[in-house]
Amino acid sequence: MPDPQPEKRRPLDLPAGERSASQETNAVPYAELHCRTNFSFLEGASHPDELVHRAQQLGLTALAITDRNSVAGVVRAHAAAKDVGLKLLIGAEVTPINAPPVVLLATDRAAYGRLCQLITAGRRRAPKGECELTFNDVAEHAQGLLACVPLVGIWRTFPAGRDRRALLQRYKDAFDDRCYALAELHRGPDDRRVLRRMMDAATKASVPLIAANDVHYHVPQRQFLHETLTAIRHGCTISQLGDRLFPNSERHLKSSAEMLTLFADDPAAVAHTAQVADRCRFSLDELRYQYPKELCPPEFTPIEYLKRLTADGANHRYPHGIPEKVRQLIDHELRLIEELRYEAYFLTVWDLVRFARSRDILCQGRGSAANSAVCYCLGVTSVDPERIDVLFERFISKERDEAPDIDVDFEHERREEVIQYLYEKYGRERAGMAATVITYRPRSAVRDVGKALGLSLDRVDTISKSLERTNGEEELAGRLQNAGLNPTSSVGRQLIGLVGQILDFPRHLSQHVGGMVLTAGPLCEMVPIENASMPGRTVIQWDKNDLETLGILKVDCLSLGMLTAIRKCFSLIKQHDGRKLTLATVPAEDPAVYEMVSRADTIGVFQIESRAQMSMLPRLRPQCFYDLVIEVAIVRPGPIQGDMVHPYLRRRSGEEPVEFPDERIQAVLQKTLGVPIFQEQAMRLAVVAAGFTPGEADQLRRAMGAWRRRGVIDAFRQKLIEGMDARGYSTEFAERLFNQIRGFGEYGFPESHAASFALLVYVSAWMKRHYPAAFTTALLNSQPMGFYAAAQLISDVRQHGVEVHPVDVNHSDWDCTLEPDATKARGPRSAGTLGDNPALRLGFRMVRGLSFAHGGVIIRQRNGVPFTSFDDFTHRTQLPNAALKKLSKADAFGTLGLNRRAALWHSLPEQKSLPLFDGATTEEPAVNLPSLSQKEQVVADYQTAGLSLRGHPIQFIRPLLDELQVVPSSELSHLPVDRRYRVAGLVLLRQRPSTAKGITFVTLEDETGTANLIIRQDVWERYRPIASHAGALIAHGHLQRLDEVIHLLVDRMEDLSRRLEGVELRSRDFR
Amino acid sequence: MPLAEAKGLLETVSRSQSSSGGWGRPQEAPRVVPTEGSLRSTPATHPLLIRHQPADDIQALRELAVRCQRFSPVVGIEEPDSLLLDLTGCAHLFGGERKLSRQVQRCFEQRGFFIKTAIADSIGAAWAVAHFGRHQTEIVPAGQHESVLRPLPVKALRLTETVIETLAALDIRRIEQLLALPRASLPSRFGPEVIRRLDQASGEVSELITPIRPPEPVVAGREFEHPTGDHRALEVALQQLVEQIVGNLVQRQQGIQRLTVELKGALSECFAINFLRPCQSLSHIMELVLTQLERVVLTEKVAGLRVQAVATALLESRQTQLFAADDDPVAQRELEQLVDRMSNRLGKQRVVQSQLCPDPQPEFANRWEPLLDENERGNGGSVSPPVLPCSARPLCLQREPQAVEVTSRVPAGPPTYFHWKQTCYTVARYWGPERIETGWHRGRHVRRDYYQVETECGLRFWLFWRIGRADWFLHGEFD
Amino acid sequence: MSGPKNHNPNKHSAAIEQLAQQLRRYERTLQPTAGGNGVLSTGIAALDGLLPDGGISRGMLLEWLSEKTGGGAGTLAFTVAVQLMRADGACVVIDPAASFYPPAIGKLGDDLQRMIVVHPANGGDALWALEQSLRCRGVAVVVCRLGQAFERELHHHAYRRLQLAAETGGAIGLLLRPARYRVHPTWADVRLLVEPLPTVNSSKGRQLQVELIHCRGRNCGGIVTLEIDDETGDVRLASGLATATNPVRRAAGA
Repeated sequence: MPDPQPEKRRPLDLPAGERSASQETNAVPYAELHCRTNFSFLEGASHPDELVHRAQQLGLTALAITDRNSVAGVVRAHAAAKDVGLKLLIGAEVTPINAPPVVLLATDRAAYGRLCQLITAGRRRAPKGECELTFNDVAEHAQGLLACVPLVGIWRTFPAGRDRRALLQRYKDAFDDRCYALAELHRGPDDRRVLRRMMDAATKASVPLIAANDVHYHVPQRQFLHETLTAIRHGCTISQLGDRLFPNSERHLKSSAEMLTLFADDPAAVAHTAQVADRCRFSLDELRYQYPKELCPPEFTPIEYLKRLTADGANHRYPHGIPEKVRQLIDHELRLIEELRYEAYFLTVWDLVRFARSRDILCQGRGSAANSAVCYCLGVTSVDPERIDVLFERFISKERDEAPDIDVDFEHERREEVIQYLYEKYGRERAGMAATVITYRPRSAVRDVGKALGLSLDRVDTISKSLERTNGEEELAGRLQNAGLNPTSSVGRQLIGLVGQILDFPRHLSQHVGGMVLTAGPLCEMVPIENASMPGRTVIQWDKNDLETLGILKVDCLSLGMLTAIRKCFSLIKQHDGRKLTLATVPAEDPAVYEMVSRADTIGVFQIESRAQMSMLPRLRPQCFYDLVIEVAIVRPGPIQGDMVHPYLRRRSGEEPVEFPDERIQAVLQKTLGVPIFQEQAMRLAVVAAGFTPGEADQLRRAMGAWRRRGVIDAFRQKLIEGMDARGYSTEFAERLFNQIRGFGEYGFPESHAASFALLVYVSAWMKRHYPAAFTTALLNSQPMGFYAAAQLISDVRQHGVEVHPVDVNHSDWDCTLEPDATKARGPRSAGTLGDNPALRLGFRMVRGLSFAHGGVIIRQRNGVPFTSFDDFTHRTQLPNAALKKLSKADAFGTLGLNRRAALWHSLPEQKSLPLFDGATTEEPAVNLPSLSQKEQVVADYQTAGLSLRGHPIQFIRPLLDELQVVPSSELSHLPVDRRYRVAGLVLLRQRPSTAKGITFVTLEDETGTANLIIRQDVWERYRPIASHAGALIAHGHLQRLDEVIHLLVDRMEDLSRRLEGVELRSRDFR
Repeated sequence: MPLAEAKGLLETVSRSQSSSGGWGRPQEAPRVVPTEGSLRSTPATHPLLIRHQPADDIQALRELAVRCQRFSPVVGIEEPDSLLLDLTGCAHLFGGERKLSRQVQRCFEQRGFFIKTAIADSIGAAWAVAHFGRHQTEIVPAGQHESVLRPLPVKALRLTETVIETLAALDIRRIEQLLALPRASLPSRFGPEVIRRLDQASGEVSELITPIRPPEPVVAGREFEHPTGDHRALEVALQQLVEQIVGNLVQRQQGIQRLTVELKGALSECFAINFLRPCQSLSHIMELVLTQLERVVLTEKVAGLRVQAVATALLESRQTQLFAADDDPVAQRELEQLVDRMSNRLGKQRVVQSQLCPDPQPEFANRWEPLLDENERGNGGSVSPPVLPCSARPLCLQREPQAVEVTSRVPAGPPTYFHWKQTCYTVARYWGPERIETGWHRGRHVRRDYYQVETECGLRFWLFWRIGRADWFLHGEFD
Repeated sequence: MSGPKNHNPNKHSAAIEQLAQQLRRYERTLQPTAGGNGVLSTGIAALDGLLPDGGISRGMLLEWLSEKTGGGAGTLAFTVAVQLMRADGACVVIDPAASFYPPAIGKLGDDLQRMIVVHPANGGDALWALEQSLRCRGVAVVVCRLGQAFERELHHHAYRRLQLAAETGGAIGLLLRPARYRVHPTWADVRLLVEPLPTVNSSKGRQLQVELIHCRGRNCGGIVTLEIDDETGDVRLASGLATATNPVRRAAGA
């Protein structure tokens, strides 16, 4: 090794040591004008807020955020800068293809608009993630923008020999006195000479020379991360980077003193930066949002129109007269809306809902303002304000001055229509989709960092695959060990350290699931628009947090599978017995529904079908709509992390008295028995118990969630605890509250969301209770959705006494359908109804791999005349072999007298040769295919469809299981508890709710029913290969039964899949 | 009678010889499923995962095929894992099929391979039985292969995956079930493949083994009637042997790349000669052979000589771009011979070319690559040198930075005086510091501030101090 | 093959004899290469002016004497070597100390592909390699720095053989030697003394004074001050102070 003595330094904990030059007196003001955040993806190595805080610590006059062809990071920087009172300059480094890169800074709002237009132009004509601009583009948008041309950029991009001076001169001509030359020195081989050359170049072009540092990270310690990112960007290892590495860590933020040392020969260049900063007077706060104008007819003002619509809606909702309570609510809400000038927002949402309803698309609003009386009247939500008691102003904070938050869920299959409607109505230049910042998660972090460090792909894969989705960081060391990489080795420590740093780093922009931004003026003057990966889609460079920070209107058009299913079920019910229902008209508060829910008989029901929910239901025993609201909200990571579930259950069952520390808290927590369950309650507590303003409480929540700012969180914690102390609450109570708020920040559910969801819970439960066949049919026709696979839904509906008929070429439609009640088939029936107990006929959509077009051919060709034979079928449909094989494997030729194998045999030969012998059956020798035993039939059913209507694979090995003393799952409900038993079955699903500390729920299915397993993390680890992959297993464990919740607490597992050889077992894991 | 032999699968799991836990592929590792037998020879260490390299496996299989030529003149391979031996007329040489089969087994076991063998009337049948038979060694008596094949799975017919899957869907899993189907109905459903494979197994359609031929090594040797210690005699003998080899190679239009010479005796002496390019020139070869011979100190008499061209290549097949700019072929050849001469006498590592690497750390910015290297030399000088001012790097770089005593006026500032080789130098001018912080990913984080200093009398040196530690080093001279 | 003589002088074989004959044949054919108009430029006009015949001829040996390493003599020699190599084939660098650092020669680029560097373990090997290289027709120029430890190997007899080798092969030898050898006799055609001058503020780089102190068969004397541009590496006559003395000496040298 080259060094005389080992320079022992653990790479990832660089002591700042000699570098803490921060607190020197800054005699000369300095503003950093060239600084990248990590929104210059894989180039910058610090978050925007880290840079802002560091700049403030260093006493910089101002900081410019100049990401490469992007302003994606400016909002975060803006928020941070506002907090600490730092002047922020907004700009971007633009890289024309035929001119050197240039840093553009916005001096005012108009200039900022031009910058956005410029970037939009470049981004729109290039593929996703790239930007293609020419010098002329830049020159055309030059007005009001400052151009700072890094001289190094000229030298680097244009080889010597060309007239470099002309390049600078071009900028000078385009920007006139707004053109500057940037001198950047990074302790290279001979900075003094370089500076002299730069001074020469600037003088010759008569452009002022100003100092900058081309900042890539806020502190030098980020050098390692930066090099790692560089390697990721270039798709190689760090050691292969060569001169694409910076030779040192000098590209960090520097104080004016440090800059003066570097620029000792030209201190004016440093001082001059402040004057440049002074010229920039633009702040993102100026982006005042303007609502689109076409929201109401010209003869009305928006508020008049809203009032009118509300009144109409109220009359429609309450045909027998508006209840007094509702009338008061409406008046009150309208007054608030008028005062806060939110009418345009409500009109926007109303317009969306109106459009959806006109197309018969089911939708429902949720979010803070959604469950207001006004929204009920407007049809945005179907939760009757009489059924729930939610205070409107709690969600519209006067202080925050932010748009209320309403998300609208649409049927997942039809949301695109709504989005296209918006584009059409407002035009592409005024409607855009919010971005989602895709950030590093543990898996992707390990994969990319590992590759950059030169680990082999195999090993990186091994490690990253072994990381579970939810809990990453703390596991990493253990996973490394398993993958044969010593976590205390140099590489191991580097990997762990770098992964820790890179987590949450943005990787690229993607489109948000449904956030649409609508503006009055051109959108691209507010924020650059770029291409998304989906053709024809464009996204803006900001995500929803950014929009929220700036108070910009955004309507979330989300898609929800359950709405599709409910709509389909509504039409099946109508077909079934002529009943016409809507979300609002499903009979409310039906005791039979609550009885079913309390039994946890909820497979397929919205939200409460997960194992975690199902284990809660028998304990909570919901009796009314509000109980469902609580049920939806309580099984969430927030309440569980905050340890609120058990106190609530105890209080509800009367085991524990309902007490309140004082009246103020009682007012907040009355409805939930003194336990905070909803996000609003936690925020409210911070207000009443710790003296936060509502705005602060909300900031606190956000600091906990999407925004990672350690220092800020600690400050809030301090404030909360002190505030509560001052008001006489115990520190313990304060700590608990803090933890609760933290939980809510990440995963909490606001009451209004819960209420909207609870309505869907109720409606779907009602359907399951009263129209199980129709409900399951609708679910099957809306797949994929929910927690369960089709097979599990079908087996559930069969247990509810519904007959299920197989796919058949003579009977099936594309969708699953209802067939008349067989028992009453001959009896007289009123038209359009199917009898009390219709059967479910599986549709061609259940045939794996069959295309919709081929399904259509069958139905068209059948057209009332059943197929008589296989030849008849192939002749009429002319389907290709591949489709025939799929149908054969799905056993869809039953009515033609062909079993699966026989049909397959017939579908193998090429069918083309037939036209010659039109109608003639070709002579073929008879074959004797091996006959199918019952077991083989079932196994084949599972292989092709994932379920069998004939039997269950487990039943065929029951004798063996008896020998092994395995009990059928149905017996678990009456066997004595707290003893060890064995159960066996196919693994239906594995779930690891983020709520449960590493606990995995596994559901096994045997021929008698299902068994619920609880697997603790240590057991999971011990049996990881079986636990995580086996398709069927035998579980040993202690039986637990509390109320009607039955669990086996597993301590041992055996793989059973081999015994069931041939059965392809597919569980629904971790959805 | 043909014999097919299925070798234990060349698998990706192996045991490493060393416990150092590297992540590379051990060279020439026993790439075989570890069995009880093969494990004993290697110390119990941690199992390693080794990336599967199919191409290497095939190569290894070819090498094994060559070794099997002692059992049969016609040895072929069937990818990915089988060796095929035509035993027609061979078995009696080994005392019958059973004994032959046992010898084959033993031969592979000694190398640490687990194999299965089968002897049958057709290649198809032997392949099937070797892969799916129950025993490690199977011998199918003549004419009985059909009954042996019937219970085997259809996979034993070497069918493609799709056909096997379709058959499985029809629940046809064994060959007898397949045979029960009407033969005429098969081609329209499965293509011609099934019939062909069935016929190959039954022997109705013959298959040919494409024999693998080994490259012939070019060796020449001579035993002396009376051992000799006379250099002169050895020289004469060597000259003859080399002539023999070169003559051999000329016919094949090949040249020598590496030549080994063995002086046999109780303690055999051995030396090797490498050539920059495939060489046919007798005089050049002899010059290098004799230069090496001169350096051998004979402690005893030599009983025999053996000269072998261990690496040969078609003439000019290995176009090194070394001195391509030269258009004078004589000068060109002389230069190449100069390289050969110097490399063989001074050692390959001492005759080198510079490969510039864009690495910020000065020690790594230049790599010396032997001109004469058995492995292909690095891909030329395609890396452009880093853009540095000419004066930024010293002409002479110390192999290791040398600690020097430095006095500077400001702590961590530029030096004012320094001591080096018993001389005290006064610094009159300096440039820098140039800061270099790198190497952490190599496990050695280097943080240095370099100063170029000029002494009062105009000498220039390159000094650095380690950031954060108050020690100075001299790293080069700007000569 | 004369190098190994000191090892086993009594074991010459017929083959070696044969080879020696071959070499001699070469010698005869090659001898007259260094002719009147075969003068090559060093690439440094001021240096060409200092040298007899205004440049370097094939087969010449040049010594570059300097007091200490770090004075710039090496840079000059390599600048000349690169120039010669570009004009005329390969360059061999013989560097027993293994201290030669190619990144210092900024403009080398692809020329590195034609530069062979030898790191001999001892003085004997170094001289052998030097002689072999000088004798080789494919080599344009050989740069050799024996270093303090091995200088003594370069005794009278060995030096004479180098000279013969260079004349045979036609390569140009550039020998970097410590200045104290200026009192020793030499077989070199030209002996230059290189001394650094302190850098002055106005200059674009370091300045070196080069004095012609020996020139076979000619009058010698003559001194120039050269300047090496720090940025480009170009070597030219120093402007300003040196010009006053220069023309006079140069006239004497030419």
